[in-house]
Amino acid sequence: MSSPIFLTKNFKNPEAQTYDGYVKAGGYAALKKALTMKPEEIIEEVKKGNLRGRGGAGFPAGVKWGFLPKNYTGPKYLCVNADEGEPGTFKDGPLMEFDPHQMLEGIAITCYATDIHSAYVYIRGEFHKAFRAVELAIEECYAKGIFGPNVMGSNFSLECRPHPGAGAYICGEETGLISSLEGKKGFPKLKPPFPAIKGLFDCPTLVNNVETLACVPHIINMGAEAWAALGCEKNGGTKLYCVSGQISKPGLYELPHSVTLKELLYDHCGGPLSGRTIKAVIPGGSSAKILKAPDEIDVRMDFDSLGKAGTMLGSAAVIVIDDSTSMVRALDNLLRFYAHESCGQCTPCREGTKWISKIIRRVANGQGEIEDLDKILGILTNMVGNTICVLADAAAFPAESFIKKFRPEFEEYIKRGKRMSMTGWREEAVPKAMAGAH
Amino acid sequence: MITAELKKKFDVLLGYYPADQRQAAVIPLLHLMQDTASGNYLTAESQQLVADYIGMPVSKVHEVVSFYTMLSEKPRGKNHMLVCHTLPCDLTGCSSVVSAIADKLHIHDGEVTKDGKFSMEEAECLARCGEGPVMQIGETVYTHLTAEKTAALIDELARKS
Repeated sequence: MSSPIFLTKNFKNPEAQTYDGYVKAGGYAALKKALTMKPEEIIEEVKKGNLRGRGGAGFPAGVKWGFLPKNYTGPKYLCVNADEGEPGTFKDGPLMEFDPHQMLEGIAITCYATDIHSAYVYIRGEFHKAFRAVELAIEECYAKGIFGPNVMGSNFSLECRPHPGAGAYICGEETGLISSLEGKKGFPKLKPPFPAIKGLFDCPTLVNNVETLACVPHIINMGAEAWAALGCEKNGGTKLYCVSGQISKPGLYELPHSVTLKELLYDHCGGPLSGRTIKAVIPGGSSAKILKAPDEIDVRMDFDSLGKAGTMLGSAAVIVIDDSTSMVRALDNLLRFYAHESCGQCTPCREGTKWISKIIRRVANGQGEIEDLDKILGILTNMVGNTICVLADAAAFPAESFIKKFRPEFEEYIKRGKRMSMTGWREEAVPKAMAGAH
Repeated sequence: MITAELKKKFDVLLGYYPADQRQAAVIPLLHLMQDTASGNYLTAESQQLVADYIGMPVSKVHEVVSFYTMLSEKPRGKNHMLVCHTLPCDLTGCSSVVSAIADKLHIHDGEVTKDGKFSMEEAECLARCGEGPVMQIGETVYTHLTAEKTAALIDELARKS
C-alpha cells in the first residue's frame, strides 16, 4: 500500500541534508514563491489547507498565526517546539536529523507571513545529532542568503538560531518552553496573557511544532486545496504516525490524515506479534485516553474523529499493548513518568501525580486493595483543570481510562496479591529499591 | 576556570540573544561547561563562573542546574548510559537491559562504577520508541537491545575506555 509522501520524501536521500541537495530536490522553491505573495495570502492558504498544529493540540495553525498583534513595531519571536518527549513520539527528531532544511524553509515562510524577524529552534537536549544537523543547516542558510538581512534577495530579514534544552518533559509545553528559553527552570506560565500577546522576553511570540512548520512549504508548493484534499475534513495533508509497542512492524509512517487506526495497525504495521492479540491502543501519546481493541479502534486518525471517540490524536504516537501485558504494570510505568516530570509548580499536580503513582506502585507490587482504584479516581477529580498547564490532566487521562476500561483486570490483579511481570504473566519479586515503598 | 577557547564559544552563543537577555544563554553555556569538565558534571565553582560570565545570580544558575536532568552536580561515568524505561521500551523488554547492567557492572539508577568508566541512569522517553529497548550513550543511540547485546556492548566500551 503506497500513498504519496511529502514530509519524509527526502529521508532516504542523505544529499538533501545539505543546502545544495535540498535545492536539487526542489527545496526553497516554496520560500521563493511565498516571498512574491502578500503575508496575509500565505496565512489564508495555511488556513484553507486545514493545517492543524502537530505538537498535540491540533489547533488550526493559520488561526494561531492570526492571533499575533497587527502593526506591532517591537520584536516578535517564533519559537520552534522541537522538545519532542511525549512517550511514544519519534517524528520531530527524524524531521530535523534527515531533512533539516524542510523545517527551516517552513520557518522562513512562517516568519515572513507573520512579520517575525527572529526565530529560535528549541531542540530537546538529548537530540545531539538532530541539533548538529539543524545547526549546520542554519549556518548554510546564512551563507546562502536564506537567513540574514535579505532573505533570497528580498527586503525581508530573518535571524534563526538553535537552542538546546536540558532534559525536562514540561518544556514541550509552550509556556514552559518559553521560560526555559529565557534561561529559567521550565515553569509553565498562566494564560492569559497568551504567548501571542506576551511570550518570549515578554514580546508577542508564536510557538509551532517542527512537523507543523515542515508542512508549510508543501502547502505553498501545491496550493491549499491540493494539501487539504490529501487529508480529510478540517484535517489537511499527510500526517506522521509513530507506532511502537507490541506490533509486528513498529516505525514512523507518513499517511493521509484519513487513515483509520485499524488500517494503520493491520494494513501498514502488520498486525499483532505472532500468536498475540491486540488488547489496547494508546492513539496519541501517553497522555491520550486508551482505546480498547478491537471494539474502539475502527476510528479515523484525525484530530476531530479521535476527539469524538473520547480520546485525542495528540502527537500521533500510537502505543500498542497486547494480551501478554499487564495493564496494572503499564499504568504503573506511565504514572511514574508523570510523577517524575511534574515541574512541581502547582500543588494538585505535584502532589497528585506522586500520590496516584505511589498507590498504583503499591497495587503493582501486589499490596493493593480494591478501594485503591476508587481512591485514584477520586484524586484525579481534584487534579484535572486545577493547574496552570495540562500535565495533571495528561496524567489523569491514562489513569482514568485504564482503570475504567480494564477494571476487571485491575481487580483480578489485586485479588491475586502478587507482583506480576510487565509481560508474560509471571509472578515477580518486588525489586529491592521498591520494597517498603508505600 | 574558563579557557580562552571556551570564552570564544560562550561569546558566540551570547550573541544569539538580545543584549539585555544574556541569561537566555545559561543552558547552552552550562552544557558547554559540563561537556568539557572532567567527570561531566557541574561543580559549585563552575556554576559560579557561568553566573559571573553572564552576569546573573548564581542562585538562578543553580535553580536551572537542579531542574534539568541532563545537568548534573555529581560526577558521571565516562560512558553515561541512559536506559529508556518509559512504556514503549518497557513493553519491549527494557528491564532486561537494566538487569544486564546491574549484573555486569553492579550499578543501578544514578550510580557510577568504582573505576569511573560507567554510570547508569534510567531515563524517561528518549524518543526512539519504534526501536526499543533503547539506550543512549553520549551521541549514540543503541536500539533493539537485549541482555546479551547490552553485555557485549559493555565489554566493547570497557576495552575502549
